[in-house]
Amino acid sequence: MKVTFWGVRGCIPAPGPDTNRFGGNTPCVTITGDSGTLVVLDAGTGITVLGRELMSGPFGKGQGRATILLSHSHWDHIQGFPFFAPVYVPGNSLTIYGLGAASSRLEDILEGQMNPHFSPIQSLRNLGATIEVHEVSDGTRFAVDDLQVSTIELPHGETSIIAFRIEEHDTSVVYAPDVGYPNGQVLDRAVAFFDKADLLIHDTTYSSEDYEGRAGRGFSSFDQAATAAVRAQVRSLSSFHYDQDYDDATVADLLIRLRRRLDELGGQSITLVEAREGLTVEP
Amino acid sequence: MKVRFWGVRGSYPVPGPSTNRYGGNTSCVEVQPSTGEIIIFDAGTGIRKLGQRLAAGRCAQPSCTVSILFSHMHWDHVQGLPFFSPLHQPQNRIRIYSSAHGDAHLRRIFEQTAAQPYFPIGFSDFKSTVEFVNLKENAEFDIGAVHVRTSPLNHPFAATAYRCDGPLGSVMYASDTAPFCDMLLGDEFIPAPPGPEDLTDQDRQRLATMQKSLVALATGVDLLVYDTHFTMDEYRANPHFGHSAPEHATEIALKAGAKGLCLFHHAPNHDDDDMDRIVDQARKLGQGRLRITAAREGELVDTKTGRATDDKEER
Ligand SMILES: [Zn+2]
Ligand SMILES: [Zn+2]
Ligand SMILES: [Zn+2]
Repeated sequence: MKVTFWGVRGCIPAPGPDTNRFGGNTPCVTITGDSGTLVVLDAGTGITVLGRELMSGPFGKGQGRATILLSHSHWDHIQGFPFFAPVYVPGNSLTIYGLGAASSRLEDILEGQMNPHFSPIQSLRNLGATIEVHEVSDGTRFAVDDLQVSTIELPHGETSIIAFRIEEHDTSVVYAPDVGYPNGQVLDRAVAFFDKADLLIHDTTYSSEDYEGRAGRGFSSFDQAATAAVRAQVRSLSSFHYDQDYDDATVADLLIRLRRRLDELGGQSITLVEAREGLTVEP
Repeated sequence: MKVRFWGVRGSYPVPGPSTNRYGGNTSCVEVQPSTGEIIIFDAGTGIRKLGQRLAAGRCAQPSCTVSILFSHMHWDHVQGLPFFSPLHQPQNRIRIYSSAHGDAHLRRIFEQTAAQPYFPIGFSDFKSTVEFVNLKENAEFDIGAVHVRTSPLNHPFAATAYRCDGPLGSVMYASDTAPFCDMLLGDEFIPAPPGPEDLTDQDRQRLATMQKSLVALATGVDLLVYDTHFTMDEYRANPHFGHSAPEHATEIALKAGAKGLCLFHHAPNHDDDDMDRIVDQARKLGQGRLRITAAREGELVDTKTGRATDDKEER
């Protein structure tokens, strides 16, 4: 199994020379199974870069197949979808799993982004690829070829996100962006879901200092991610969803502090993956 | 009069080393008239850093009015708005000028850009006073000492061009638009480039009227900022996407006797080296009668000379 980061930034894309090292695109991560199964986690602007790359393979010929897992429908997690080149090629097939909302079905939410006021494409129906949408909720289990997927619903401000756990043979990856624990206390049921994952990709939007005063926004601090990783005894922890105002120097510094924090908590054996655009790891 | 480019990119933001020189943020241009009004064209992702600067500077005053003139509501022109810091300061008055499509309600459309399930907070959470001004076609109004006029553009679901005249110069913002020769864009989605069949007489008439109005608005303007998303080859493959090439922009600028043309709304697939080539080629189109430049994020441009001042914004 291979994991590649295409977008690691939170909330809004942050282009500019001072984000070149870690990247300015909003969330998108791919998991490629041992037999080539492609699972895409979230469709922030990072997916546009992935799309361009995929077009040189079967997706360019309308023979591509991918599964997209959406943590939630905030803009930064879906805004790249209309610009994901494979959606325009008839014959490609995309299966989307994600969270609906109390007020609307996931398919309507995705359709809303294409509303003609906001998008010249005007409707999902105008995309060439075949798109199938499935809603998931807390505790949903399904398979994507050889990959087993399970879900947990976790708090995100006044709403929630779906975190995904993807397993193939003995390898497991958990994707948990935009998690905000009530009172900053990592939830026991989250720890149970992350348990002994080979790679935990966990929200690290804020430094501990910035987290104070922004606690209600529904994100985690670097320290909280360290706590979650140590308590769940994961093999490696990846930072993710950096605040749009953090330049490369700030993120680099926060990562040094994250390593130190892991060690302090007794997590010396946990490998720290410093998420940046273009990075591929084998968990 | 000066303008500062905070976002010059079309369609979607393109972070990364290959856009460092021209910039990766979506459309946002700040007009700096000598008379102090705060006027902004569009609210793509570029507006975030402009907002931080204003919030710490002029919007930190006891009262401050910001006028944002929207070309249209496609994502690349509105997606930065909720991240505009002055919206979150109670002393500010943010006036949103736009043209609602058909009989749509302007405030209600804008409210959809910041609301669950897409965004954690909504317009009712913004601490500033937000006002909406729904503009009619060919509207004319004043913002302080700056006179503003508009003209419709050829874009899916329509867009609006703005011209601002102040005591020390003028600038016109024409983004997004297709040329006025091939295709009249309206409410319908056009799935593929049109075939050889001709436009109806009525379409031709409307395109001619639109172009005439745009040329009239651009007459003698100091700086014409124009959508040149495509190269000519790209345009030929995608005439139905609602964007122009430098050739189309130059034609309008020359007809109108504009003094300077600034290429804008760079396609996401054009990296810095592509942009260098595009500007080099475009310069030749001016026939010595027209100054042609390309917008670069962070640059402060004097509308009279078309030149960037030394004061390049830290990004
Ligand atoms: Zn997010
Ligand atoms: Zn645009
Ligand atoms: Zn547009």
